Amino acid sequence: MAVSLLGRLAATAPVPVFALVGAGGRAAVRELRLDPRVEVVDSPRHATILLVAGALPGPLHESARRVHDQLPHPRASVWWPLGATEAPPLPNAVTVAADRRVVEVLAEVHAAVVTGTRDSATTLLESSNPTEWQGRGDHGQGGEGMMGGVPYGRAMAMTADDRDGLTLDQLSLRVGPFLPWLPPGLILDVALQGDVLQQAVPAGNPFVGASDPRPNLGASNLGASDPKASDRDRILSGHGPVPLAALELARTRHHLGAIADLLLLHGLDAAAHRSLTIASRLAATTSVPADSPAREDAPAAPEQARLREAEHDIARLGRWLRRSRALWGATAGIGVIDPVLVDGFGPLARAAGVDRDARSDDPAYRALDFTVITHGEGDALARVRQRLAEATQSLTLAAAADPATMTAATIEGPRGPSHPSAEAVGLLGALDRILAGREWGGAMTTLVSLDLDLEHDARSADHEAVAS
Amino acid sequence: MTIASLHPLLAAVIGLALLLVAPYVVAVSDLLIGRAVAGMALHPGSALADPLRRAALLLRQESVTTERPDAMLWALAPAAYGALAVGAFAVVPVAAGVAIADVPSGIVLFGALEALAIVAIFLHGWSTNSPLPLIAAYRFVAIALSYELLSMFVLIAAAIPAESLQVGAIVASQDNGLWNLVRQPLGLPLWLIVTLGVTFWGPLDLADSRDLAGGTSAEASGPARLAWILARGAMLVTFSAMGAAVFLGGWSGPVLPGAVWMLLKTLVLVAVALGLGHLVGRFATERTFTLLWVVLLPLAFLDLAIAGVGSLL
Repeated sequence: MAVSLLGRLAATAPVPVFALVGAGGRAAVRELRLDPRVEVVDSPRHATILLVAGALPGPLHESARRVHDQLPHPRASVWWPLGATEAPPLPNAVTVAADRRVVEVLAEVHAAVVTGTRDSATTLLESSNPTEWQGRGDHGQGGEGMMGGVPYGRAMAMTADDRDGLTLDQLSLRVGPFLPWLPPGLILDVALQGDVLQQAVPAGNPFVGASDPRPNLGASNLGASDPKASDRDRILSGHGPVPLAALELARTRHHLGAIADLLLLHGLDAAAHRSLTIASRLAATTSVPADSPAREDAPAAPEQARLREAEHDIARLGRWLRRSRALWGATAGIGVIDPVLVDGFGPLARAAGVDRDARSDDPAYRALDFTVITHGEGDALARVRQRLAEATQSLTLAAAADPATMTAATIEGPRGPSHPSAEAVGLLGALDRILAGREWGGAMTTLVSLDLDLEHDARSADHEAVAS
Repeated sequence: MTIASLHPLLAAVIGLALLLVAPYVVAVSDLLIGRAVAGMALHPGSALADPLRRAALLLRQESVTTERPDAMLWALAPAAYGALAVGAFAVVPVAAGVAIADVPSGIVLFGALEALAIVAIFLHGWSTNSPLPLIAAYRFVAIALSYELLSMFVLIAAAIPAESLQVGAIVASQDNGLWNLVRQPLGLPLWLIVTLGVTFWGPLDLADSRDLAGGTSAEASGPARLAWILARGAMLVTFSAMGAAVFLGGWSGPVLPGAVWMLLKTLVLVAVALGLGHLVGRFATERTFTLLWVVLLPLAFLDLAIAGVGSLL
């Protein structure tokens, strides 16, 4: 009886969810954080439910199964397709039907597995070593003395020169692709001395060449009041013309989401909630459930009152962040980046003082007296300020524009202008230079403030390949 | 001054309350403050039930192990951290003339237990044999010495007017209505920083932070994680109680019984610490180091100097 009572009480707890974010799942998982019935957790050890949001490309399947086995019992998996068709490699995962709210499904599965009415998911992988014993070196582990080597495939620390000319233990690790705060899918081969990253080399982009059609890819990034699929597709890949108001609303929501990520990383959940709420309200339609893919095809109808309210709310959030200096200790002077490294990446470059914005050359924007906003510091705080300022500016532009106004063919998307794939891969390629020498916390702050999105990069590359 | 030691049974009840009730109060307060800052409806009913639901879930959950952990130390760490919280609380008078063990060298004992608490936090990460908790553990230990120095200077400054290292005597020295909050204005702000640092809360959460997927707790689950959460809550209340005793006059106050004043003052400091957690983002590690050594430590010297000069006047 006691166990049963405990189980019933546990079943009503907020559902701890560890999210594996696939194609089209990023914004959806962000919005999930707004529901108090769910808690998106940072470690699989803290979760009951493993949620797969969107389409997981093949190269991530093995990692997904590995994360699955890290959840403590009782546990279960839920797949939130978001329009994808290729199921994740998790047997017995419950699929969220198109007409169901994901939160309801999560709560049901959680209650069932916690009370024992549903069996806890079994382990998928064998507990075995990645490789055999190396059998070299003084102690057989393949290194020197008692250090180094990769016994059973696990690298041991080995002394190496540090950046100050000293010799310190250096540990080689592979992190990702589902480590929270790393962009979904990013795998980094890092060399750590203490908590300082001496090296951080990305291991490719698993989203490149993904086979799933990803019909809602754009929707999850842009939201309900944004344009229909074809427009969304063009906005994402950086190609116009698209409705100007829709593009600007997309930019506002995108920037608010990116700000929320940075706030969450630094433990400012309440402020992140405010940011996500504004973004969600901009997308809100009353007729379709908030997490239904159908919602994404709702007609664009930017209402003036709603825009004014959002503008007011963003201004309040901005004032609060400025006056409280809540992010100062976390972001000021952190992640300063050479503008050359982020040139071609819209808001990142403008936050580093690059006075370049494709909207300046667009007659539709010139008619609205558009001016380029820049910040000179180029650090993580400047990127927050840049996003806040651009979010407000975008709402003003969306409110002032005629709903029928279209942009030029070259557009300034939320992440930047149309650019060739070589540049899209450029930021990923520059990561080692950006992260090397930073302490772990600063590296995560830098990464989140860059708002790197491998799925977007892959999509841009796909689009360029088709176009050429 | 003479402080009566509590009956062992009553002391055990207080210790148990610190480990069970205090973390519950911390959890409820944190939820309500978070909702208020987020502009959400407070729903006090659900806030009261929420920690119990989460605790029940953790009790139902498996305590997962890692590959070749130091299992004994991993299990010991939450127990040690909780026991140290109770031990440190013992020297704080809970009412006029009443403490679990108000020993003559109270602040020395408090400081010693505080240092051991840092060891417990380190072990919680190190014993998992997992990279992220290990990084968190080392990162915390690297910075913890700064908290220790700050803590000792601030407490010694508070002891100067009392001419005693006994916490009860420090409270009694404020009986004239002149709290240390007034005569040592740097003391309480510095103590709050020590509190946030040693209990790794909010802007100074360098041990269990999100950038390391939960830091020393990244591999913890089930009852073991619950024990760690309870111990953290207990430690936060212990540090707040010490702050209330040393800087806010402890049990002194009109009309209400001394124990109630002590409780209220402790809760105020708990709320301030929790509020800071929602209002100030986690500091970058390097910046924390710089602030501690370049700004706060000199301020602690100044606090000590103010206390010394004040005692001569």
